[in-house]
Amino acid sequence: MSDAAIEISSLAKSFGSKAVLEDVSFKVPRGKTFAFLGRNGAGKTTTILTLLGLLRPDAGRISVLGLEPKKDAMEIRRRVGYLAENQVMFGWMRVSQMISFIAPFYPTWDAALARRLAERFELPKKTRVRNLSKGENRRLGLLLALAHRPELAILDDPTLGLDPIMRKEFLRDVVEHLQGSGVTVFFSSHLLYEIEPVADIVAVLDRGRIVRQSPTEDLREQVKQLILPSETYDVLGRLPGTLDVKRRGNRVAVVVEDAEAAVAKTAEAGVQPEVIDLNLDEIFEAYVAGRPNGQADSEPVVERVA
Amino acid sequence: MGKPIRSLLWKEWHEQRWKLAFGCVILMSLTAIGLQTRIVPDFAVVMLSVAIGSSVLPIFAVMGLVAPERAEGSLHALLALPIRPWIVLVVKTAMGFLVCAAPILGAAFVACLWAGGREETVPRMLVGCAGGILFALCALVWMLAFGIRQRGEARAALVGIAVIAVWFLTTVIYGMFFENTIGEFWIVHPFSIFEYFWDAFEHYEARQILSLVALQVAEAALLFAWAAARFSKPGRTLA
Repeated sequence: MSDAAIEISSLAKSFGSKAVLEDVSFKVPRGKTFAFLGRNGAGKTTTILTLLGLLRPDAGRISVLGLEPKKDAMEIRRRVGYLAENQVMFGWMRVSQMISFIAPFYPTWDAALARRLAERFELPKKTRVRNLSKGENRRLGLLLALAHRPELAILDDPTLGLDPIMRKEFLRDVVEHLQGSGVTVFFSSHLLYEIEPVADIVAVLDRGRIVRQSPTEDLREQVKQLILPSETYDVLGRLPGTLDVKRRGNRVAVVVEDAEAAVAKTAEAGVQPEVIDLNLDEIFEAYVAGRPNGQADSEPVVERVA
Repeated sequence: MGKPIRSLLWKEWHEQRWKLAFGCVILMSLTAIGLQTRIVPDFAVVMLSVAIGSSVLPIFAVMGLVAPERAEGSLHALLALPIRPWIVLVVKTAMGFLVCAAPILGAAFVACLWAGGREETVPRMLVGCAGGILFALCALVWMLAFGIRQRGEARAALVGIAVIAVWFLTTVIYGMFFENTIGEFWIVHPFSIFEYFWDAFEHYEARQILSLVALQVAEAALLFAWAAARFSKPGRTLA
């Protein structure tokens, strides 16, 4: 058995002339929570659909739970819990009917777990799906994704459209029921602060390419902002792994991928920069907003801030 | 039958049952009223009911099978389940076929009960109705095949109407220019079903009718395969 729940290499997918994914590669270890970050339109949903065999990639290799979506899509869908972005269910069904409708598709469906989750999520069983609130709808989706005890849960922007309180409650439910249960969680989102407390590994997708993948802790420890005097920055030139540069008067704020290497370079010039920790939101912004055309090795845009 | 298929059948039945009931009431009433008033011959009443039913009911059925789910987005939830898309489409088509066939069978039942043997024999009425059911099946599959990518009931209905309109047009053109030259190819046209079944006892042998059935079913099967291949493809760029 492979130690990776998901393994993707050189994945590419285009819709007509628009390339949505270009050379995407990553690995999700079993039992971990993997945060798949990207802006709207970055290619997150397309990646997920290829994982489930709902879309055929143009190129690349995919393995989900050791299976190939092209050949074993049905087996993958039986073993994976999937909560789609903006999932629309059958509005005329009552909650209990919806659960009864979905259950027969999964041989491993656990009716007792479904009952427990319905109670835990406070789902009104007699209410029609179209009359549920957004929060209830997402929780019903989560119940349907988890009640067959999947080995891998794929949650595609699950908190989209929820207010902050509902988002918090939803994440609490996810954490309570998934973390520590051995289930691998693939959590796609563009709201980074919500991912931060739950993610073990983060991958950032920007314009169809993975621009960074690493454990969350490494990301926080390595990606930092350095504050330097403008004249020093101009003499030093580009620091190694520069992601984003902002000029503020006579000082320059540089976000770098490897703070240690960058500080070493400034030390060579006899300068000790001020090092500032970043949260995941700021790191994400540096990765996706600081580069023109999404090129990982391109020169970052230098922004002047008054 | 597998549990997932039973579950799908339950869902489709819930969604289509009112259409089925409505079709049965309308077509059976139309037949009963026509046979009671006796303004036209009994066979004409039955065939008129069958012709209306087998042309209109497929449009009515196809409107509710795929297009509304595609429009509201619930089709994605259905296709993400661990079941092959073509099975989902087979279940949907089967329920659509029931919506078309049950009212025609109901009309046949009313006709046989009310006027069987009065002007027309029961077997002739039943064969005429069987032709109507075959035509409805073909029409449903044609409409489904051409309208499978449509979003919304209105667009699916328009495609259905267009299919019937094209059939009328090709029948007129065929009658005006080609009947004497390519007469043997008429059998490929779905409208030939009415001719073969309604004149079954006068002009056609069982062998000819079986050939027609085989050809029309083969056409429908090819179109269904085409529809199934396009059924689950995403229609827009997803990111």
